[in-house]
Amino acid sequence: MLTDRYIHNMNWKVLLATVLLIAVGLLFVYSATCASAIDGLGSEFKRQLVFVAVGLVVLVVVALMDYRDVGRFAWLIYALAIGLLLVVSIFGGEAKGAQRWIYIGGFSVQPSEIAKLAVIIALAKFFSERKPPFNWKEIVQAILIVAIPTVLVMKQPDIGTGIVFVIVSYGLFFLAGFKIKHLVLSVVLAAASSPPVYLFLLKDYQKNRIKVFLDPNFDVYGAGYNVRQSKIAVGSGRLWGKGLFNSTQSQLNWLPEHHTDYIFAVIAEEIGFIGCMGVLALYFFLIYQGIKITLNAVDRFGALLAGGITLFIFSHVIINIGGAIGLMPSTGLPLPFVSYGVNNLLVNMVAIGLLLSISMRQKKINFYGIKD
Amino acid sequence: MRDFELRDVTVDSQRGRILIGIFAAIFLLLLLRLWHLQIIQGEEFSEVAINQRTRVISLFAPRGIIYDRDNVPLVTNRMAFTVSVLPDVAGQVRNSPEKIALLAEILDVAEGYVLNMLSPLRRDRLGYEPYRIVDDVGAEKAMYIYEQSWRLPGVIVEKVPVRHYVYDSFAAHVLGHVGMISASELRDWSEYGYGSNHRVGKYGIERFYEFDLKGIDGAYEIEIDARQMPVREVGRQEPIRGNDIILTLDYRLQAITEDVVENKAFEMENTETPINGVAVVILRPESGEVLSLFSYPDFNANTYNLDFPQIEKDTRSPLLNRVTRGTYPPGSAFKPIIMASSLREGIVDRSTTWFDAPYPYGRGGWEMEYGKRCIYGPHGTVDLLTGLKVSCNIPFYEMSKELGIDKLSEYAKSFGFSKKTGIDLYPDEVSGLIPDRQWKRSNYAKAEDKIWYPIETLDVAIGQGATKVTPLQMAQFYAAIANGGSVYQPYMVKTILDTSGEVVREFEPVVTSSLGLKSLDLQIIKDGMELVTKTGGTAGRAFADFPIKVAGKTGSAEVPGRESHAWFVGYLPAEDPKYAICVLVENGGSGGAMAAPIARGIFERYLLFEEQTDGTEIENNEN
Repeated sequence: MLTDRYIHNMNWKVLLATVLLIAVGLLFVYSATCASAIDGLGSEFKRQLVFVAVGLVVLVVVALMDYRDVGRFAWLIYALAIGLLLVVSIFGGEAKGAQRWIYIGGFSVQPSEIAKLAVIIALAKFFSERKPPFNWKEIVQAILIVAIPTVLVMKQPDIGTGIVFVIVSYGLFFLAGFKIKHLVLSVVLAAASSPPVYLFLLKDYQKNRIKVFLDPNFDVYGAGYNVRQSKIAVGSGRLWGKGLFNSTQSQLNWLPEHHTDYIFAVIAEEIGFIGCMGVLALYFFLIYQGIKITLNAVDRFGALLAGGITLFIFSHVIINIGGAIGLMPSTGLPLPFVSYGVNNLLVNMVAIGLLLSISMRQKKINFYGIKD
Repeated sequence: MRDFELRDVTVDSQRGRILIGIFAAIFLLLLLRLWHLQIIQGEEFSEVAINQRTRVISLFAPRGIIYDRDNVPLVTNRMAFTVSVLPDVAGQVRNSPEKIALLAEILDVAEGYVLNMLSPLRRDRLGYEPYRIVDDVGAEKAMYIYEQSWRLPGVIVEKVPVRHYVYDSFAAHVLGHVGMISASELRDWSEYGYGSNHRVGKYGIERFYEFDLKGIDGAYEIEIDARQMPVREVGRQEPIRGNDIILTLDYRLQAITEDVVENKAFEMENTETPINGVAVVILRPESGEVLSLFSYPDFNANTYNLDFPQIEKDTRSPLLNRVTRGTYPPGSAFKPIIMASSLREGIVDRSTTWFDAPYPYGRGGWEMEYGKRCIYGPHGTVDLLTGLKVSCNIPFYEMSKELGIDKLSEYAKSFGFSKKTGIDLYPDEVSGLIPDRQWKRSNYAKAEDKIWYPIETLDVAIGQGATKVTPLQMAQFYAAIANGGSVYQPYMVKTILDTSGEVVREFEPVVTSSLGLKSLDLQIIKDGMELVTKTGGTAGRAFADFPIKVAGKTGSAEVPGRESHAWFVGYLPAEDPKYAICVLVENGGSGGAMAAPIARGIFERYLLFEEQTDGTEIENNEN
């Protein structure tokens, strides 16, 4: 009876968009890792397939949970995430000059992925108990909630995740009711502080990424190589693409990280501008649904949680695609549901599960005759 | 009011809509960027993608095959393996001592050699062609390199046609050799489809008919991955073999010529007068076809590049084609030219006689010289025929005196001397020299040296002084005597065929001038030359008991301070000439004793002892 009602109230639009994006992901992880391999399926594709199944189960389980229970444990989750970030900064394994991983029983756990969700939950919880206008104490508290994990991931350094925190928190501050002039002022301050940050805090490879972004011809055989090859892949896809599994850039290994950071370049090369429009449309549809759920949520915690999750997915999409097409510096963030990578996939599934949970309970309002 | 409540309970829906607006704007920005990359710049990026992953590598066309006049293949092609490095990899290898060491190890060559072959200086010439490092490695070694190439992506092993000279040094100066294209050739021939790894004709027929022999190169296109490792072939255009050439050369006659000359050189090797240079050319009198052309010493075209240091050091100049580029005083072999000129001028006839008196024979002034120059004299009363037979100088002094240098040089030039014959061989032949007043004026500085002295006319009369001829010019003139007076341009190539056997070009005999002699006058010269090979003639001993009637003339051209150059020029059979021959032995001494026996040796074997057509097994019956 209970289950029937939930199935009845299931937000099929969100689920469909998610499943389609996962399907696109599997298709292109396959293209990037197996299409040219001689002996059947590559291990990466199999692993991704397994975790898509696990992820769908996780999604359903989370969707059936009451998201308000999550709210009850918000600060515990937040504390755990911060703890993990501290652990990784002390014991973590290195990948490409950054400490991001903890290895547990053959699995590598990326605390920054968990931290993203934890920060969203914590902020939603924090603001659900407070209403605008906020006093300075509240503002400083809210900023601290974001700033602590942001500093920790920036130290790894994981600039991409840091930017996600910034976008998500700005969005949530906006939704929660911060004064517009405060937000604008902080942006101005941030812009003013960027030169000293660039000069004193960024590592050389990060500076190079910014140089590469500003000058497309900067060091195309070194620091600029990845972005250059990604742009070649995207551009050479043209209107209709080279056809599924026909990415020469990926199969001949010209394009590095083609199943993770640059998977969008493989998509663009194989299915062209038309296909890219389709993929962007799916993402926009999902994000649009996310905002609708935000506005229709039954309580402030649910609304802010849904808004945070939407901002989380949105920020990943634009940072990943923006990096692949040279619209912003490349930061090595995965493309949600599509890039190969277990941590991100599972966190995304939990996030969509939460979104569905909020969406399903919103409908419950209808039974009480309160319609938006 | 409900709106207000909702906002109060959850979030401001106005702000939610603003957020959606911002999201939409950013997605639009992504789409615009994609539009720019994929639609506006799409073509450009497609080209970049194709260019970086594909390499076009030339497939060299096999050169045309060169045959003798009876379709005996003389120059063919064989397949060899070469090892090259793709251009993009070359730079990486150059800058990495480990990679250089690895490449040197795989190729089994010195590291310095690898570095040299990858020199950036070759870049300009190579363009996008791979750097060819090793030429012509054996199949076994090529397999090894191919197996090892995974250790160093960008190293490719190719099968290429390589020139094969079937009989090594056979007819070396005719066939020539090939070599790596030079910078200037690459520049000059750029429009004919030459690449920087091309081998081109450098000498002889290979060079003269380069554009006929070269063929049309093909190419194949490979796809390479980011490590420059070839992944697959994506396109192929097969090369087209060059046109085949059928020479006028007679394989068997050429082989015998070389064998006889080399035997003679071997025989003389440890004497006081070893043979340093010989030129033999045999023409067909009624066409000018070159049947045999040999310059000794020669070189082996198959190992030319390896042998080059020794060839270069050899003081006997093996690279000099003595037939077309060697100039020598003709000595008495020039006498028929004086005779033909005088007969043309009508100043002598069959009954004209001279008296060759013992020294002194005084008529004052320069006559003092007569006796001194009369090698075989005194001969008493001599006519034209005897003059040739015993090579008495007196009649020729007298004739030249009467002709004067102006007429004499004019006639000689009209007979083909002092100018190129027009033979189709590289390097270009030289003209030689018939000295005259004009030449003296323009080649001497002092006023008294610019004057033509009458005594100098006598030098020309007996083929001495500044007179210089090539053996080919001599053969050409004697061939004209043999055929009744037509001076034919000597030529090496009869036919050029394409790969399907269709005739592309056919070469016909070309008459460049005429001796202009009445047949009765011509007969006087012929009769005189026939006496030369009879008992008592200067070549009488050389042709004793030779069953075929030979006409000819010896010459022993004096060279200051050294042995004379030995000449024999003639034709046979005298009654129906099929072969005109010129033999020159540098510093060989007497023409009758050194040059004439070579001519006899050649025809003895060619016409009498080896009638079989298979010339590959020539038994040595000389000596």
